Amino acid sequence: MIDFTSLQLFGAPLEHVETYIYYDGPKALALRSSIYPLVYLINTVEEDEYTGETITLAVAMTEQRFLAVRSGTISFRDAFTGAPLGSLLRIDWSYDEGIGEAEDSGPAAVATLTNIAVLDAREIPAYWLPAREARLNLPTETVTPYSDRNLVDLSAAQDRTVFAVEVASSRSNITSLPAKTSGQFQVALAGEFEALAREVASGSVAKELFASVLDLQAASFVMVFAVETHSWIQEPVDVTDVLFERLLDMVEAVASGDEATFLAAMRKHDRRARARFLDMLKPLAAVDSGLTITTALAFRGSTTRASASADHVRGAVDAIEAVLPEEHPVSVTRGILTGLVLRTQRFELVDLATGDTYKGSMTDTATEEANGLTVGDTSFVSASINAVIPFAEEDAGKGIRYVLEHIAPHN
Amino acid sequence: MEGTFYRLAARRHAVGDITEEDSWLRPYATHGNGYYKRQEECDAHGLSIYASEDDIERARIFVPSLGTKPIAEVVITLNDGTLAHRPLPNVTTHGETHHDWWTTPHDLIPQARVVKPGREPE
Repeated sequence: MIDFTSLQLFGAPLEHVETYIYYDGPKALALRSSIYPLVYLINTVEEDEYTGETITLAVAMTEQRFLAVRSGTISFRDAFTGAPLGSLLRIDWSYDEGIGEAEDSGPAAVATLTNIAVLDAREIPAYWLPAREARLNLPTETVTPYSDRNLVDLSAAQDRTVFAVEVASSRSNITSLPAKTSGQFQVALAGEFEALAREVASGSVAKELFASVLDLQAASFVMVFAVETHSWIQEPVDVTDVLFERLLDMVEAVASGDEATFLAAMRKHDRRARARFLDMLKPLAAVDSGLTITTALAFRGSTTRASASADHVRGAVDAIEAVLPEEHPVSVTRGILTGLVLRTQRFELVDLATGDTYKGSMTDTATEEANGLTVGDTSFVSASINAVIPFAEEDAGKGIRYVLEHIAPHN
Repeated sequence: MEGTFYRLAARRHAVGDITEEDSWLRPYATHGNGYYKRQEECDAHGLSIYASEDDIERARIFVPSLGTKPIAEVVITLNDGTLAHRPLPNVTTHGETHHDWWTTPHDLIPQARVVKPGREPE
């Protein structure tokens, strides 16, 4: 038996981490230095079936690279072929006695170290390398866990609200949140922050506030944001307190798992806030992620948290998307036709009573009725328009689709 | 317990060969094995075999010294001895289908057929 932990390599004494392949003894394993943040990956590359003489390779690597090998990000083969100069060792072992001399117990049961030499990774013979497909793919904690305490400390140090968004993915082998998902989420969250700020405060106050990314932790599975102001010295906590209360309420509504409860909570907000919230949930649903938001409000010294599972996030997205748009008829008694393209069935008119402008598509009936009408300052018309309002869309008219159903000249 | 099992055979064998004594060294006679020369121990007589070819293949793709060994298939019946399902403890990538086999008679040389050649270096 080869006693790998007895190896007097740099960083010794070495501790056994785990064995990957065992066949009549450990063949591929990892050892960790008890002194330095260093891990040795060991592999058995040659064994004489009859004498037991064995050649092993040991490659030293940082803890971070080891985690990448362990999680399968780096193949087992590349762990050796990519070894920097000086980090790869060839270690030879032998047994004093040959096969068939097993009559008495003796030292031959334990292999003796005969040679250690530094090896250039470029000189590893092909037959000493693992197959290209050899990849450990072991579930691996690749990063330091996120801690709420850090959030409170950060908030206290900066006198402003700091909040963390934890996401997770049940998909195997994902060791960091995909950058696209992270980016989409950050943009949506900034939008949601702005939308809620507009709900809570006046326009000028809302314009002053925004959320920015402070840090990505735990392989970007935790995004830390901070509340910023464009020019104010101090954060308006009366606004941000309410803003975050509403944001956490929305997450809790997702976590309820009840469609009616969730939609009722969403209806408390305007369409912009709903839309941005949907934008937050969509990229997470795409990677089977749940959502946890933890806030450390300015000057509070504590955290508040709301969490929803991946299933509930997906359910919330489905629930929003299943809500049929509201339809409202709009009757224009006297308006001016300011735009008309019969070929593409598009129109634009201004209601002279309200000053509102409507533009959108036309039904076939309205297209027939509009044929022959002229566009201009004196082109007075009466019209019936259907306003289609999606559940979660931009506010202030944006996102509302107008369909012209009837139009006639107004004399 | 009975069925088809797999074991790494001596390197000299080609596909279709029937394995011989050198493919069935007991642990007490195998260098590098923890039971080498400890014939008094029960486990020193158990032969390591795998119920899954994938498990043994996994060992071959990771460890070059095992990769060059061919895989032999053996059919074990109730009359061939005692089989114990003993997954390899603390081995992370394979070993779930590992079994120990104490043959009857104790020095049986099983008639296993080589079904996969040793891997060629890539």
